[in-house]
Amino acid sequence: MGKRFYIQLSFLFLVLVLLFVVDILLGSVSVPFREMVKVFFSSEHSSIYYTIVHDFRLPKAFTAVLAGAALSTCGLQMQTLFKNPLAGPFVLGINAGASLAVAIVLMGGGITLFSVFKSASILVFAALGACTMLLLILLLAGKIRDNISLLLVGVMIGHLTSSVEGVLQYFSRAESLQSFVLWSLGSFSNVAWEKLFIIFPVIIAALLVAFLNSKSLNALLMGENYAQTLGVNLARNRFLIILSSGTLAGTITAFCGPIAFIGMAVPHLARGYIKTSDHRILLPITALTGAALAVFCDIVSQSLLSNTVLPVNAITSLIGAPLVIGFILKRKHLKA
Amino acid sequence: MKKTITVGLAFWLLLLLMSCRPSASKEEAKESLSGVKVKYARNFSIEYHPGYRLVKVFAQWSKNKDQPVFTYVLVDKGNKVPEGFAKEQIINTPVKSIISFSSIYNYHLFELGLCNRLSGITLPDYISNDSIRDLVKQGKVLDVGTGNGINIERIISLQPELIITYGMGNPQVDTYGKLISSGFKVAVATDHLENTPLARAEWLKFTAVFFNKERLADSLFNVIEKEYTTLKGVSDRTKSKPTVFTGIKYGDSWHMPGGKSFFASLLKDAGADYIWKDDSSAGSIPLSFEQVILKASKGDIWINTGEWKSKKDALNEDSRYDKFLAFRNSNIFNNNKRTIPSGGNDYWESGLQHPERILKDLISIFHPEVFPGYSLFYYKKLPESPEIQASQP
Repeated sequence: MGKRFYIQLSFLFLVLVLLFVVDILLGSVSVPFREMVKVFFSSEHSSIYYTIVHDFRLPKAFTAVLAGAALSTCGLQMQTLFKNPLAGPFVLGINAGASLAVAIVLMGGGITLFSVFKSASILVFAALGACTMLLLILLLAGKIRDNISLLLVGVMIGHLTSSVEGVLQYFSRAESLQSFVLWSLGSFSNVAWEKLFIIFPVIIAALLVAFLNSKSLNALLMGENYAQTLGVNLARNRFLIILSSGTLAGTITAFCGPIAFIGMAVPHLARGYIKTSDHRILLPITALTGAALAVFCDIVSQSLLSNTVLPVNAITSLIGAPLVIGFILKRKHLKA
Repeated sequence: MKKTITVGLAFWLLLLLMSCRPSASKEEAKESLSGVKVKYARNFSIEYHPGYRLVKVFAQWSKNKDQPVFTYVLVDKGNKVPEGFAKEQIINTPVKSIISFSSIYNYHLFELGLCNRLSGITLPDYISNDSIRDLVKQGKVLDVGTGNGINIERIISLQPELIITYGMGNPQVDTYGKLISSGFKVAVATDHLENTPLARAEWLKFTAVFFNKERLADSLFNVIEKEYTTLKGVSDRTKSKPTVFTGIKYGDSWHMPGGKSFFASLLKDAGADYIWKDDSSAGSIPLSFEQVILKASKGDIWINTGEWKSKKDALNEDSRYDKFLAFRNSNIFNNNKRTIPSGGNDYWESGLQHPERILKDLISIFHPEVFPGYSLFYYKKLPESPEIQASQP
């Protein structure tokens, strides 16, 4: 890892910090500059602007950072694991698994069992749903060697879960249906500090697992046989990758809803930027790029229309889809 | 003794005959001859012509707001259908059987004593009225489904003379298009677009007119109007006006009723200083949590908080609801006191039809000194944590 990597990493970090500051400054309420200074440099916390910035904008911006880093890291791990440039939390049904689990909790009566730990149970269920789906896909991957077929199977499983959700929606009460539909729109702003304190350690731990595992991701890139000759414990590493990816996607999906495109698009952006497939470099760059892109999407969703906040999913797709098409046209970067 | 029995039997027979009311349709026909006036509602009108009545429905979502979106030609059964109405729906009155697509029209039928004309409803779980729930339980009134799950075959088998539903101006939500193209007579109401409580309650006359019962509706409405106006006079005389805001956030948006909306008008009549009263819209304005906090953090009273049964429900959804002074002072009143376990809330049923009851609740919330000892009818002060139901073991 050379000097160039650290320069690029610091540059990305700077971009992220800048976007973070812009995200704090902008919002549906215009906070006077003097008040903004007071929020950060005064001990007087009774002003309404302090509440707005401290209790709404800061947790939202931190959530965007965590979500972007988590989803793109999950996407990168999966693209390597499946040797498939189109893999991501969405395409292989990981989000669908989390989404189905949440649908069951919100609409299928699970709520009465878990109402005391509602948010905690959504988290556990979403992570479980994501991991189960990932395991299922991986099991099938053992049988189906062809990546395109595997992708198709993933898409089919996605359809299957969404039709089960459809049936659940049909039989559920209007209120639980409403909370499910709202959840599925995606949002960074429903996370208050105490929820952030749950998400933060979980995401950091899962990211650490991913980073510590980056050497075996490199080995996987060389092919399974090569990895085995290097003495890499394949079964254990696959398990770690699945655990980390499922936790990353599941946690974010539970709290923010299914956030589209970031997971699939960002690893390609990162590869285009750093031009290496060494995961020791690629992973941190991907995580930082993902965080920056998510914060950027949040800024756009807050400020595109003056009076209304757009659902963040509309924005991630709006920005993500052209990016992916662009990469398909410039196919040289499109490799896992 | 024998004579007593004969007289008794005759009397009983007479009673039976009277209760059967064989001349009902004649009475109904007579009733509609002298016209009733629509005083408050802007979205429908009734015009009386020799031999027929014209009922027009207007909607704010229509491109041309001055032109009716629907016109109905009401002709008494046995009378000749007037010429020149090729496009309009011709309704033969009085209607003998009806399917209702909203609990508020069910409630209209209940008020008019016409529950026996009802043959189909939607969303039975959300109906609060006991009489109608009983009819559903007995199988006399059937569930015809809703939205995409609408059961056309069942509707055909019920042979309704009229279907009454609402028009939102959104083909994704509205069912009337599908029903009209299936050949049914459909009365489309836009009562939800009225922006005063009395205007909305006056739609009782709209439902009634298809049964030739508009005079009965008129007299029922006059009582409501009188009571409402008297109560409004009471609140007008109060000196202090508490600042009030309403609703909760769904997803990223908090839909606040506009300054010219139904709720703004209700709050004004109840003697409140509605925080968004200066807004110019008649619908609701989507706001962010930030925007609501900015203006309402010091608001005195918070009303209509969705499904919440306690303050704990609020905190479970989002801990930041405690940033409102009204929350910390426990000045939150929700309109769900008369909610039944399956989900129906009588506030949206009898409440919409009796705004004078809602008004009395609100005046008592904003000015407790006015009606000492009054117990709220639709509203409930939100407790700290869920109340344990007395009926539960």
